[in-house]
Amino acid sequence: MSEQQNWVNRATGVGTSVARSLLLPTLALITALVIGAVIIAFSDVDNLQLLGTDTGQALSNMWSEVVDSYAALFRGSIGSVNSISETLFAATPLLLAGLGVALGFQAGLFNIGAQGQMLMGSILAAYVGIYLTAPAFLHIPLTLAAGIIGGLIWGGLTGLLKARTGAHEVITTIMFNFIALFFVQWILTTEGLQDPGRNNPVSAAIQETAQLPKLFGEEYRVTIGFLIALLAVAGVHWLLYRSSPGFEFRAVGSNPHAGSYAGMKVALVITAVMAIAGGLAGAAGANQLMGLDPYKATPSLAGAVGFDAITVALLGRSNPVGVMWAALLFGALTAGGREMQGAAQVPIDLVVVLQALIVIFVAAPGMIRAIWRVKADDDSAATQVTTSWGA
Amino acid sequence: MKRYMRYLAIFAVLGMVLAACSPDDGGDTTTTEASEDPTTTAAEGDTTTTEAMEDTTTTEGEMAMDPVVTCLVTDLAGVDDRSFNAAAWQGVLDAQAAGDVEGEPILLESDEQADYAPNLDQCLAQGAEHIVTVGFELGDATIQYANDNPDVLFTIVDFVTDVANVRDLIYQTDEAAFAAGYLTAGMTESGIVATYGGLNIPPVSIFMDGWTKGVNHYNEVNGTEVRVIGWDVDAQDGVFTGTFDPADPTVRATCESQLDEGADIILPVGGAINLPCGTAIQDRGIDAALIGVDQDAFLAAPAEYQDLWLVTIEKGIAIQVERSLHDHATGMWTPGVTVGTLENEGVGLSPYNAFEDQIPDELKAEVDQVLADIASGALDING
Repeated sequence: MSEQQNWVNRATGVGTSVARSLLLPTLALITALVIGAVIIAFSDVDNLQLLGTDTGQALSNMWSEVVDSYAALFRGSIGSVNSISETLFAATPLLLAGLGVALGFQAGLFNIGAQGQMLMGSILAAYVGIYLTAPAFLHIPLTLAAGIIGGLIWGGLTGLLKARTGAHEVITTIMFNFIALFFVQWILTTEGLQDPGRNNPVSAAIQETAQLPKLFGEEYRVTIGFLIALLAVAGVHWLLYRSSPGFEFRAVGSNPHAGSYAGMKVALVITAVMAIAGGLAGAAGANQLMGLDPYKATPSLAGAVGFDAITVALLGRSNPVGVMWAALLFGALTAGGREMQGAAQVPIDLVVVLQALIVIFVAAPGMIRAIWRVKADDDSAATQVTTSWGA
Repeated sequence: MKRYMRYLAIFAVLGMVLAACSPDDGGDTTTTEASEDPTTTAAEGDTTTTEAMEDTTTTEGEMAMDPVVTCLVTDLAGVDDRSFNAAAWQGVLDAQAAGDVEGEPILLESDEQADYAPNLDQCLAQGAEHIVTVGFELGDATIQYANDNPDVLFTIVDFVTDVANVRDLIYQTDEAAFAAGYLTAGMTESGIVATYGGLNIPPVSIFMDGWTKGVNHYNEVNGTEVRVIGWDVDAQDGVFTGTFDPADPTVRATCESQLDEGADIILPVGGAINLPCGTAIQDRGIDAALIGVDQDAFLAAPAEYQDLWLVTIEKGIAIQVERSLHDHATGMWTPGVTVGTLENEGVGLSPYNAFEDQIPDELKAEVDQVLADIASGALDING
């Protein structure tokens, strides 16, 4: 393993076991919650003013605010069937797109293009969802497949550019995000796709037969899209660790030169990985179209999912199972954050702060080890130059 | 803003990795240092927002009447957009101060389209009796939730739902924009003025359309040839950034290209997307001005831009949101479309503020006449 590749793998967590990959994120989560509590306590101006005059009262106010906020956070994420539904609902696109990003990491590729791949997937899915007439058991898979194909093409193109010309995928995927965004803004205003009677970019609603059925019954938002995402976890796990293409992906990720020397077609691997990663993101895009009332495609459909997916992949140490836990955590923070905002009036931005803190601590494990006095892996000591990254 | 932060974060992470890749890398120290940068940047960005939001939550005041449990859902621009989300929230706070709101009003910000429905659910879960939805983009979700919850009253800004428990607040903004266009044409020195919007949606384009017609009206009356870049009245299309996110680089680039073409007064329409343009003007050190939208930008925007606002085309969002809540609390509430016009003071022009002394008195008088003529119906802005 070359020195350089070693570093990239440590950053993206490639090659770590599930048990190891869960320890540091858990500690990071706890640390982040503690810091978040301090932020909640000190962001209330009234309490800060009170601190000078009546310190005891101010501290007790701060304490109850923190308790209220975190109680709301947990209640909103796992406190009821509806909360769990909201958590899974928010986790689904993150999981699908995060798997795509993680797959890229495993092959040594930084796929920043999940955003654009989601958008392109959603557009193709919108055409199939609006125009195809079929019973639901055919219409749903076909619409989803269209989403996957849309993302696959968009991701594959960046892979092809890298394989053929060496254009760096970080640059091309970001640029492709912009191309996708403006393309979608345009095509959503074309006749046949645009919602009749509207003059902003928004598609007509897809047919009912293409809408994903609810998982826990009509009153809960989560759809079978979550099950599809779980299948994708199993699929990516199998692909990476049980199949020969997956072995080639990881081999090229570890060292493209060695892979090439061993007879692997590096260009093909790069294109295939980016295409599959794009397909997964495309599925996430289709999920956002097919699983969310009013079932219409818009340029803001991908929201921030494409970017959060990168964080999720990093947090999950690029391991499919780790990505699943990371996506669930982010889903829980999103759902709980909403309750926190509604019930405790703590701005939703705190959730973004928590997410950022968690990622920082995961990315700087030395800090967490120092705080929690956890020892570094023994087996990694031999190969590691430093103690960072290798969670 | 948030999306841009994400790009920054990505580059920061990449930076860490690439720095670590360098052959003579020192190991631990380099990584730690590199990771400090994104940490502080991200944290600072978020804390600022938190603080800004805290400021707006004031103390409660309860009086007689039957106060209403109120919940407000923003669109993607968020409550600190210094524009219509901020104005609508101000209306809720004003209603609270007047005793129309039960306890603390609930504020839910949307980060993405997928947040609209969950946020509305969260409002209902908190027992909201009146839900204010801000912006055209929430139209579909509002129709759906209003139909599903006939006992809850809704007020939506910038959209017409035609649902029996929704009050639709829309604005004949082109009336005020027309007068602002007249003023603009009278003030330009280069003879070139420009406008750009966030998206080509009615609440945005109506500003650009009315303003352009106002410039054209000045040309007709005074025989001048002031040229408008960025809006074509016949095609009903023009220059759009595709985003309401002021941190998106597209926004500043759009403004810069219009400055490059010689525009010296620009009307950017869409929340805070006028601020990058203000920075561009200041960085160039040129003598150019901006026209604000929604809320008097002289007061609403950061103080460093105060010299730039020629005038603001105002929408009375806060007052009408407050009125809707007040009507609900006093049992006087009626659904339907409320159109803000010059005549009912639902739209208007702000004071000239920093430009008070620079605008010739004759021009001021002419603008006042235009405003009066439109309000009275003597001047047809579409004529």
